[in-house]
Amino acid sequence: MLLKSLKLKDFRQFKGEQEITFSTDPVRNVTVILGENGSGKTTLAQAFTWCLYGDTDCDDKSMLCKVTGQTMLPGNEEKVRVELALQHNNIDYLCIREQLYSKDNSGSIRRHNQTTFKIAYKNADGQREYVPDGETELRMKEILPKELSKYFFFDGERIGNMSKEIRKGKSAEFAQAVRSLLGLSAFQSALEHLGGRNSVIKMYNESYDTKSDSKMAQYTKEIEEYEEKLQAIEERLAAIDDEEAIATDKKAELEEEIRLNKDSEVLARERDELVRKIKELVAKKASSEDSLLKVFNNNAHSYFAKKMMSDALSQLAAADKIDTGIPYIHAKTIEFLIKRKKCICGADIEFGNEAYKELNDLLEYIPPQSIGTSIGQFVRECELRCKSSDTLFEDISTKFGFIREFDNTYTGYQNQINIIREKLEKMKNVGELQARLSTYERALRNLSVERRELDRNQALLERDKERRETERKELSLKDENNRKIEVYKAYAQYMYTTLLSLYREKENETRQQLEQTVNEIFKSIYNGGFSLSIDEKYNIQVIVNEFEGINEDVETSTAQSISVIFAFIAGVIKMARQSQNPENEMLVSEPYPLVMDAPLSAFDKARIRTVCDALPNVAEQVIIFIKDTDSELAETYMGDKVGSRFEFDKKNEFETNLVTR
Amino acid sequence: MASEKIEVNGVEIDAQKAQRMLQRIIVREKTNIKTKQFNDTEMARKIKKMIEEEVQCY
Repeated sequence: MLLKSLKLKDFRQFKGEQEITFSTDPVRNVTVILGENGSGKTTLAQAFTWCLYGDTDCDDKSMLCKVTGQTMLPGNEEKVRVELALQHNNIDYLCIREQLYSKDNSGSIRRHNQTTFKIAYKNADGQREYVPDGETELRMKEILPKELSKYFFFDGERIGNMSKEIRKGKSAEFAQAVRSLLGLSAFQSALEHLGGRNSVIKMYNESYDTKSDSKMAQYTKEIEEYEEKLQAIEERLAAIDDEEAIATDKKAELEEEIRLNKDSEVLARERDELVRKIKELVAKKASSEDSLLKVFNNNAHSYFAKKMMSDALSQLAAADKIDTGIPYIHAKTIEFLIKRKKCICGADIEFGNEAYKELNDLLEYIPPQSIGTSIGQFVRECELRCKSSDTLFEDISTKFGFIREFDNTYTGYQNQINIIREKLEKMKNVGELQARLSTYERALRNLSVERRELDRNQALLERDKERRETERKELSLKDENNRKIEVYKAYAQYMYTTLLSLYREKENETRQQLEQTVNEIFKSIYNGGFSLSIDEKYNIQVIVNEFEGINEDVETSTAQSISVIFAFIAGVIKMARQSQNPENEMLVSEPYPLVMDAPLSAFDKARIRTVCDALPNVAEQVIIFIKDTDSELAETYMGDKVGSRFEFDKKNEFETNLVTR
Repeated sequence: MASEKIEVNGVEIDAQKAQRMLQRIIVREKTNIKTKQFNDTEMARKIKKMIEEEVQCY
């Protein structure tokens, strides 16, 4: 695949129609696009994936140029369009993706549901034709599968995720795509056509002449049934492989999560303890308030009147003469004496005389109106009240102190709870994780049991099928037509078996060659005591060379990660190129371009040089987006390979023009 | 060229002839991958026809 040009219309900050033509020169095969930060390098790189697959990594999913959107009138429609012209298998394709936007009466821009994707190509007569709508995705998959696209439309600034992805858990689809890129697809197609579902062998199995012998028909029917059962078992075994892989990954993921979240149990216990303390505290506060009010209501008036009572008592003590009454003499006694008109002393009591007046004066001081008695009572009452309010201040101070302290303690506990809650929100419930882990463990056990059962059944069915095939073959040789079929089938079977073993050998050889190529490129970029190994699913492991015994995958730095990815992509591309050579006549492959967004950012000067040296040699075509800071080095090390130069002319945050340098 | 006889499922076949056919099949597959001229069933039929023609010529 060679990229010829990219035409944008109102795509993000590229207002109006803008076009960039890539260098397809075999020697000067590099196109450099230069831009400062934020000018649109990543956006332009995203235009490729949006055009081919309809998605981007942009957070803002609106592709319409903001400036264009602003100038639209209510009711108007605008289309965002990206056209990528490319050549694949000597056919010129034009991939076109469009998205319609409209502005409603309130001024809001609305994105219409689906993008439209079309692939046009030039047929043998040079006429333009379109791939039927239902087949565009399939054709795109053949041109460049999405699983692999990110390794060709390579984003140096988002390398972290790619590095993890490439190192573990790649899908079967990915391995398939790599095999296809490495040129093994002709083998796969031939194997499918010789021995697959709608294959030659299957056709022969169905074409036996069963009229000659009733047993022939019966055996053929039985063989078909065995085949169907075996097919179902194979499908189920493949599904079990996938399910096991998913469950094993999930199990490992959950075990890791449980390990990371085990503190949540301790935190949850701490939180529960704090909640209990808060409850206790609230209850204690309520009882303290109650008790404080009771003490206050009972004794506060005495407490506040203490000073007055004390003053009154002092004054009363100083005025003891006030009480001039005669003890134990009652008012009725005096009234009796006045009535009797004779005093106790014998003196006569006559109305108005001295004795009479004396006795009447005396009435003022004796009970029931004796002030002395009242004073006595008052004094006792004052003494009692003073005594009872003696502890009021201490009582209230203590209780109020607790109530005031409550707020501090309560806030303290609440803060601790909030901190724990925040931590717990970020963490996951270990119990729940444990339950999910058990589910996956159970599923794995069940799958293992099912696999054993299926393996046993498969062996039995294969034995029965072989027996029937032998019997049918013996019968078929008796009939001329069937004998011919048997001979044709034997050829097909021989070719299938030969090709399968050749394919396995070739695949293994190609993978080893890829490993070697990738390692050579990796060493040229990153010379640091690491090497890479590639397993049968094309997962990459980074292995430390110098430490004997350490052959596990190791964590890598950003520069190492980017080197791993780069080496892998460059390796695949180099191999794809090599498999085009005439000596590889059994392989069929296609060159691929490398579109790299800021690949140099992670490297130091020495490595930039090696990358710049390697890029144009490894890939058929290189399209590289670089920052102005890296441009000088890129120009120095790669200048003689550059066929086209462009740069971004950033007018403002929402508008950038592509200009030739 | 001397033929090399081998037995497959109790039937004798010419291994060299089979190898030659295999080469032709791969070439045909390679071409079809590029041109997309035939679908899977059509390709299987073509291979079947090729086998029958080759074997009958023998």
